[in-house]
Amino acid sequence: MPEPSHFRRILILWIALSVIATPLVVILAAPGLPPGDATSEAAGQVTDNTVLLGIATPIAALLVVYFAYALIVFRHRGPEPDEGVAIRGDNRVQLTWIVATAAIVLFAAVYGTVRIFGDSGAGGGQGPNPIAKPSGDPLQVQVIAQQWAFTYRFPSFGGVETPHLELPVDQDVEFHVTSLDAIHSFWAHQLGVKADANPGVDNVAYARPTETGSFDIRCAELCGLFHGHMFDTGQVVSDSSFQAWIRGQQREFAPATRNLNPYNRGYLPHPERRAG
Amino acid sequence: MNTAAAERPLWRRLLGFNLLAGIVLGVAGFYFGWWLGHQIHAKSLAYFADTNQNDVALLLGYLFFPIGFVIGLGFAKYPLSRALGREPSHHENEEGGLGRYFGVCTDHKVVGMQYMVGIGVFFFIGGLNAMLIRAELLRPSPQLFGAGNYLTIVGLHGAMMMGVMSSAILGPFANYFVPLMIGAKRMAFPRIEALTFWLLMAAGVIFVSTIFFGGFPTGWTGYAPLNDQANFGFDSYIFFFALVGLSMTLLGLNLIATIVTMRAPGMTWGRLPMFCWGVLSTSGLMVLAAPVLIAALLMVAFDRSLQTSFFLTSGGGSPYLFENLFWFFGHPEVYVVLLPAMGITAEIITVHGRKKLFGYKTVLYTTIATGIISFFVWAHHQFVAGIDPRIMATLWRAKIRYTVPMLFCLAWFFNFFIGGVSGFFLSDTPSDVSTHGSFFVMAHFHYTIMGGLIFAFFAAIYYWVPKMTGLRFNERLAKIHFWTMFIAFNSTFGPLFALGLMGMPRRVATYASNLQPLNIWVSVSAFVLGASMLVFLANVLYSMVIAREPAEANPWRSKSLEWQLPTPVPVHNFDRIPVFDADPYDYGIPPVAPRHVPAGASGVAPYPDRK
Amino acid sequence: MNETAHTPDEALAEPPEVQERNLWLGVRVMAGVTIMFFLAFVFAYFYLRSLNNFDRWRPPSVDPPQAYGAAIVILFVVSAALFAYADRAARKAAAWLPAAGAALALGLAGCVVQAFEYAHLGFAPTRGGYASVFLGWTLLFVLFVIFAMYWVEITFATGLRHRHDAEAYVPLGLDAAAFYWTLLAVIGVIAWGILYLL
Repeated sequence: MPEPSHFRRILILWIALSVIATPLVVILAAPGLPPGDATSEAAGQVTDNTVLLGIATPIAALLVVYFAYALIVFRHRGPEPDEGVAIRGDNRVQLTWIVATAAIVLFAAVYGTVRIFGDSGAGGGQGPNPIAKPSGDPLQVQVIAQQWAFTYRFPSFGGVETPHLELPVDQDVEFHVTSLDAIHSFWAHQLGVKADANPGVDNVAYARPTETGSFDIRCAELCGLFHGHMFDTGQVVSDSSFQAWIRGQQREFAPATRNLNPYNRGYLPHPERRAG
Repeated sequence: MNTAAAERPLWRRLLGFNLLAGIVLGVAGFYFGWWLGHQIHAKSLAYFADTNQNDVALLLGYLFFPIGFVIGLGFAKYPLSRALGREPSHHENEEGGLGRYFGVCTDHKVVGMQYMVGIGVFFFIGGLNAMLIRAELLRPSPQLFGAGNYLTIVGLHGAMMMGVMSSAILGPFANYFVPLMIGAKRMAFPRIEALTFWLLMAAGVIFVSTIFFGGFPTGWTGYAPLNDQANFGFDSYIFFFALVGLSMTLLGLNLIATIVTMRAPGMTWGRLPMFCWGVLSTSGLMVLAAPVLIAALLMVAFDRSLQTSFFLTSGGGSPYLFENLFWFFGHPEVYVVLLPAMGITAEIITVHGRKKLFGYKTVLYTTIATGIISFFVWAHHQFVAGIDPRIMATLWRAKIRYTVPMLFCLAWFFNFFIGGVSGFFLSDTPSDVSTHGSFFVMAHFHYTIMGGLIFAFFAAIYYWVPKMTGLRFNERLAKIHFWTMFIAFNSTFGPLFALGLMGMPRRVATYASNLQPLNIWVSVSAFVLGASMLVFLANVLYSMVIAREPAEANPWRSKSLEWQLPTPVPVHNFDRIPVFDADPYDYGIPPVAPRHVPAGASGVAPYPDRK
Repeated sequence: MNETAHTPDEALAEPPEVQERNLWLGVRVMAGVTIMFFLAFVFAYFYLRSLNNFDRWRPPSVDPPQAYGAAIVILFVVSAALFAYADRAARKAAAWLPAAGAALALGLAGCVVQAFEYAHLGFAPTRGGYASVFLGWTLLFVLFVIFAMYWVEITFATGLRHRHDAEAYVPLGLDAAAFYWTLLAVIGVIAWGILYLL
């Protein structure tokens, strides 16, 4: 029996599988992925994941086809193992692979960079001096993490510090994330926001909620004994409800607000008191 | 059997330097340190007034425990005789029966077997912790353990696995087979080789003892400032990882010296088996990365005992100092785990494909380059480096035999591929926002590390253990083990990607109730995964204890030197040092006959020395 | 078990030139290990110094005793130089034992002076980042020196046993020990420069 063209067969199988699988993944599966579209940042992350999945699907298809083919067609039959065909290392094959993988990785790097600037940081923490900012005047919210709770301070509302978080819809929010003790991470899942909370550091992240509803807040960095209990539920509400809520909080916490330290981008414990 | 040793009465044999004396002296050492710590504590209350626990005592106890342990095992005899000016010797306790396994023995094959059993015990403990974690996660609210115990279990699982993985392939397989592959009678520093194993054992005992001191809430990374803040039990983490680091450093040093200087004539660099290359580059990473980890951990120990402030912001230190030093170790550590696994799969796939390894030089350079690059954060994926096509190309028009080791290698590739693709998402910054710190990362590194290392580890077990013990595995049980393990593994860790995307953070016992069905699925799969290990244990028990079918000397028809030796391998490997005159991967090039003949093999005249 | 009969020691031992080569390479790998270990402290020093959190890097009264520091580093350097000389002399078949013995004594003296320095330090470990790095670094460095002294002592003791040999005797690993002790002395000089002078 003459040796069939393995190369052409694999190529055809691969193209066929890719043509079927890629649109299925990109159109049907990927857009339904978490974190959803509650903010423009979350929606952006879903888009990014869709693009990456679109690239990954043909690569996966190539490997699946190749392996399935090799394992079925090249399997050894008969009792006595004889020798495979000796092929010397082919530089063209190796070069093609390296160039192809390098191109994909470069694309991912460039794409990621473009997206992170175009999307006001894509919901990630950008450190104290953010480069990618939304235009206009965002609502500032300071997220203060400590063992084992988050509190929120609103400098534009008299520096009131609240134990829960509500945000107005269709308004850019600027989170200033910091910590009082260990390293925490502020993860508002449905908002697509995750920013590490480091003691003494002001970590800025942006989000723009596009629909009302509740979102989960969790600590995403192990911070000690009750790390698992450091969670809360926040609300995205209409602007009028938000105004009513924050006024109520200002009234309720007025005595506490008077005793708070002045608003500051990074609180640190007193040097003589050795916390954490 | 050594007759002189066997004739002595049992009590007399138990009374020498051995494991028993090691345990006794180790415990004595621990209580000495404990006592000493309380003396110091009482005398310098000014430093320690604000603590209600005596870290000094516990740290000193953990310092003197391994010292007493290795003295009792007999490691002090030789250094003392050297200090008195006696002549150096290069071997100890190599003859004689089972007693060799319970003390200092400089036979690399004994140390390899010791490692095999020791690492197995560690994996068992680590795996048991994983089962406990999954049992806890069956329900969305804490049910079995309190918050402290849960974090201790998570930390024990993570640190145990990370600490032991680094030696999982280098310990048993490199110690056993590198000298055989390169034609040496023993390692370059055989006593250090024995010491690395017993240090690892001491480290394991110290680590498990953390449960008597309240555990630790930091996970395997032990980040500052949690590590300064953590209670008593964290001291055992410090000494566990420091001893593991020391063991890794010495192991790496020894393997480098062995591979570089102990190669037999004709074993040129271009003929060195891929496994040895993997071991060599791993060792290079170990000796450079592990000392930094030890230094960082000693700083933590100073913070906790001398009340220095390396990691205390308010005392002039910084927690990021620890994070920086830790990840200087942590990044190469990933490759310490992966490179030997790659070496193993290269060996096995070549032998089973009956083909010359595709692009030996490319693979070689990428192996070395990966090692160097791993010190820099950005090169996180082998897909760039061209490691993967080698296996694809080696399979091209090969004659593949589906034996159990080969199945494990293919599964290794499959898992590693999924790990790599998921890493693609993690490395992309916008996507990383939703995946970092969640179960997505957890699934990613379980695919690369467990899917990568453990599958290679089992491939190596099925491939080499018949050589080590001279007994063959039961094929049917082995295949049952493989398929249950492979399917359960993917069924366990695949859904974790989804759980991560749906918002489940790592290291928590509480989660949103809508994640419960998926968590139950994962837990049940994990229990099946655990059960597949029991199938393996049953196979070991059946094949090695009950059935005891002798294995062939070279069941895989490999051309590598270790397979040309009689089974089991004689005590000093070779009567005469062999001479190599062919590559180890000459498959597919007729004639097919073993080309490098060990001079010790029966009745074959030694080749003339052709350097 | 299939085991060979007992073989005499000479047949089992690796040839001396193989052992010598192993030590030559092993000590160089260990040099890498040692350098990486102390690089962690160099990093800690400059990292914490540049951060200077809460101005607690080095409060005003934290000053190491200069006299002790100089004495320690001089003892170590002279000891290492003597030992390096002993290594050279041994290779030329000249008398090397007195120099090695003196090196051992001076090295141990340096460790003792270090202990005295701790007793008269004048600042506690709690006094900020510098105090932390100073104590951690010097303490661990002395541990390494004690290990090197053990190695020096081995060569000295072996040489002592062979002092009446007819032909010149060079202990195994003498040059490896000399290499390592010289390396440690260099690290000691760097540590002195950073901790006492900078």
